[in-house]
Amino acid sequence: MKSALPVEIQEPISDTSLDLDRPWNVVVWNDPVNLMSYVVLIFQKLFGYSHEKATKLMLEVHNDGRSVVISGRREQAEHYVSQLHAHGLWATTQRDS
Amino acid sequence: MSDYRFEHGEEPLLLTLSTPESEALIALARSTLAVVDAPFPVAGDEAVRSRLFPRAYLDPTEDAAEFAFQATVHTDMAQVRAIAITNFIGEIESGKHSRRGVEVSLDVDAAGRWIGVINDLRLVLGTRIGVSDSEDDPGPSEIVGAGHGERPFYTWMTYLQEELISRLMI
Repeated sequence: MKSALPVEIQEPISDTSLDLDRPWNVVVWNDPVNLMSYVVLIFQKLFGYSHEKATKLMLEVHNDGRSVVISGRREQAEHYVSQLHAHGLWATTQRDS
Repeated sequence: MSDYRFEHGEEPLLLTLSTPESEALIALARSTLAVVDAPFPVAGDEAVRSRLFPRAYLDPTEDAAEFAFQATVHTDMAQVRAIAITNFIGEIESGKHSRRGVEVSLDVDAAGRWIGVINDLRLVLGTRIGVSDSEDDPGPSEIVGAGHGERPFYTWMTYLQEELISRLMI
């Protein structure tokens, strides 16, 4: 039989609390089909951004290949990603690095 | 030049599509509907389906979250798309037919819906014909309207969508 002596368990060093603090970014990726004017329109519609801010983000997508358009809790990020997908934009979510 | 034309004036927007244009739009819309409605990817249209319903997570360690995401949103998203496309087809078919083609009356809400559906149709056709960023815009002078091949039709839809957006944002 195995003894039932108590064994000291070492707690793993965790950065869970830090992970929980890090927001989830919603990333929109460049796409050869979506029109620039359409992307601006959708950013304004979904996020309530001004035309200037929506245009700035669209240009980031166009010039840099991607842009973080909004951040939040994971559930919020997934919601925004689904909305962007419903409007035909290529969007993903990832934890802020 | 493109055959479609907008009537000048106040709302509603009157869009006249030539017969080849309306027929091409309806055919592509029906083809898109088949992709959207299919419970599983149809052979040959996997890329199109992936483009209409992309992944939310690129990180493969988040595959469980990806599965949960798709399980949660896919059915509703497909249903909303299918309704919008079906209405789009119905609006063209019920338009006022004349020798010039089909006249469709679009209020602001309808124009907004058309912009979304045409975007889906462009995603589908653009994926199928392999549109890339490196292609030059042929410009309006090379647009010959629908019914003259997939790439001119794609470009024609691009101009139609751009025009609808510009009028919606006035």
